[in-house]
This record gives sequence, C-alpha cells and structure tokens, in this order.
Amino acid sequence: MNLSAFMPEFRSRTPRVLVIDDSELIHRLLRTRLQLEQMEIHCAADAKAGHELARTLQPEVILLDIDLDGTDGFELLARLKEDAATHDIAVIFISANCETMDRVRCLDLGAIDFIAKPFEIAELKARLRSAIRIQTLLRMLAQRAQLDGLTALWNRSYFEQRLNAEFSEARRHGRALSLVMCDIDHFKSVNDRYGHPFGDEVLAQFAQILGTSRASDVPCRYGGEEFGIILPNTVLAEATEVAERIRAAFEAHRWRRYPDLVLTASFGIAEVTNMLHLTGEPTKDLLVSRADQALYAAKRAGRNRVSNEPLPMVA
Amino acid sequence: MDDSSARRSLGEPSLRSTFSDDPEMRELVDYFVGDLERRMHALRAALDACDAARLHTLAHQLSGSAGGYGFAPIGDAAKRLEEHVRSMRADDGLAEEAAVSVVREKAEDLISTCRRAIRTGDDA
Repeated sequence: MNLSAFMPEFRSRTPRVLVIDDSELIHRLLRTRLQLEQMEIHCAADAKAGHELARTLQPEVILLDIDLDGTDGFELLARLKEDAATHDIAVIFISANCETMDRVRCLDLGAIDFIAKPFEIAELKARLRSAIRIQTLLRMLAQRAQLDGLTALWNRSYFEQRLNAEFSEARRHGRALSLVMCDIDHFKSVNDRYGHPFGDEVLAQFAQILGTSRASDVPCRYGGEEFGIILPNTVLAEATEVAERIRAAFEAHRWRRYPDLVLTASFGIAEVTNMLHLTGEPTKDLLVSRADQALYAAKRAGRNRVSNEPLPMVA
Repeated sequence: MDDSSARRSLGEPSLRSTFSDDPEMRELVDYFVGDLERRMHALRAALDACDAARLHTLAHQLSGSAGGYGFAPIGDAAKRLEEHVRSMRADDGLAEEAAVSVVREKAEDLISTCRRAIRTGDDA
C-alpha cells in the first residue's frame, strides 16, 4: 500500500496532471499548451510507467490514452481502479477512436470524462480545470472526515487505518515500528475543577506539542484525553526519547490563566520487532494493547512518566 | 490570414499550421515539422517492409496529434491509413492483395501530405 496516499499534502500543492500516452508529440503538445495553467504536467509513455508514476505522484487527474501500445488504456484503467493507492485518482480518457461503446465502457470502468483527439485546447483546459476542482474538494472532504475537530490531529478512524498500513509495511520489510499511547493525567479533575472550556484548551495544547514531534511521526487523537503516536522506522529507545521530550514539554508548559498549575501526562510504548519473541505472529491489535499496558504501568508507577514495560497480563 | 493557395508554387500546395501565428505554438510547430522528416522515413520503411503493426503505430501517433499542432489534413490522412491498417489486420489477410494496395495508397497519401507541411517562418 502506498502510504503517500495518507499524507496531508493535498491542501496547498499545485494540482498534478499525469498524461499517459505513447506519443511524444502529445507529451510536448500538452506540456506547452498547459504551461500557463495552475497545474504540473507529468508524462508517461506506457502503462507500466504510468501506473508507477500514478502511485508515487498521486496526481489529481490522469489523462489516459485508450490506444496505448501493449497494455491498452481500458486494461490500465481497470488496474488503477483495483489499486488502493490509485483508485481515487480522477481519470479522463483521451482517444482518437471515440465510438459510443468506447465512451460507455470508459465511464463504466470508472473514468470521469472522455475527450476526443485531436482535442480543442480550450475544451481540454476547461475539462481539466473542472476535474481538478472536483478532485481537490473530494480529497479535502475525505481528509476532513479523518481530522479531529478540536485538536486538528488525525482522528481514531485514521489512526486505525494508518496503523494497519504501517504495521503490514513494517512486517513485510522487517522494519521497526513504535507506537506511543499517551494520556493526560487526572484530566477528569481538570475538567471538573476548571471547566470544560479549559479542558479543551489543555487538549489542544497537548496536541500542539505532539504536532511538534518529528515529521515522520503520526500523532492522532485516540479518544477523550488519550492520544496515539505512530512512529514508523523507529526503535524502542528512539520512541522513548520522543515520548520523554513530549512529556517534559507538557510538564513545563505554563498556563496563562492558572500560572501555578502543572499538568502532566503518562506514556506507554510498544515496538513491533520487540514483540517477535512473543508466541505467535504479532498483530496490530497486540501492538496497541501492549502500548496500553505500558501506559497503565506508567500510571501505576505514579504518572508523569514514560514506560516501555507492559505489566504482565492479568489472566 | 494569408491565402497560401494563392501563393502556391509549381508543385503541390504547401501546408501551414493553423497555429502559425500563435506565439505559444511557434516553436512547437517547427519541432513538429522538423520531426516529420524522420516520421516519413519511418513510414516508408514500414511500408517497404510490409510491417502493418509499425504502420499502425506511426499512423496512430500522427492521427492523434497532428490536429493539435494545426495540421488537420495530416491528421485526417493518418486516420484514414490507421483505419485501413486496422481493418486489414482484423480481416486477417482476407483479400490481401487488394487490401495491401489500398494501404499502400493511403500511406503514400499520408507521406505526400506530410511533405507539404512548412515551418512557421517559411513562405508558402
């Protein structure tokens, strides 16, 4: 699975258009004709290169020629739609042989539009702009649905999805993967004593500190005052350092309205390659529960600390 | 628009891109015309070798793009060739002699249409 599909980078970047056509003449023509448009043009000459580029570039729109040499456009469209990393990309077919049945087949296979060659450049531009507009909105909506409204961190549903993907990826390549579960200490009494608006401020502040973690870390709001950070390619010792930095930063934070108040949080960590000695194949859920147990151990040991030692399971 | 037919020389009328006056397209049109030389050679070679697949690819590339460079007559000639090659391949050699001669005629027609194309700076 291509993890770049999860990255929150769609909001600000210049829209990308991938042209998959076996004719260099078409590549040159489109690069020139679209150079003044707000879009980056990328080109591939065959189905294989096109599919690869689609996965890595995550373009908003693919302009796909039906009559590719070797694999034809229909076949490639079917593959793009089967691939989780590319199935959301809008595909516009271009073809010189535009019989009605071809158009019907294209749209049935999941293409959003069809343009006949030779194209009127004004029409091509307008159709591209419209496809990009819709695609950008769809991606924004999909992303919104995965963001937590209060903290602007990823939400629980994203956490599950991303952890799943990272877990398979780590297992496939034998890489490290750490998970930090954290919880603000005595949060219920903060709410009771200072009121919910301040409670929300505490959550937002904690999230902000999580957000200043390394770029590769994925902080999520797990629920209530509990947060999860997914740390790809990170061994236990490194993850412990990351958590310790966050713990110290949160403890050191001064609250403007309550200068004497000190709030703390507890952290539990589990790491995949560290679990291999356990009986059976490790699973994503086991990773979560080991991190949770470590968090529980940190709480039991007096809170405001980082633990990577899960308490033994109570039978 | 200058009327190239009024200025045609003794041979065949020259063919000017409809985008000749478009600054954005000038360089591209000249690239296309320059590249046609190579394509005509390739067409001729494919024709001599009776290579239907190659003829089809060459015709297909021109039929889809020539119009975009402002040379609709080349695109049309290429499309006619492409369609004939395709139907010949579909018929699988049925009435081969006749089919081959039609393809040859269409290919010659495409080559001579290509030969008429001129660069943006050239006189018609």
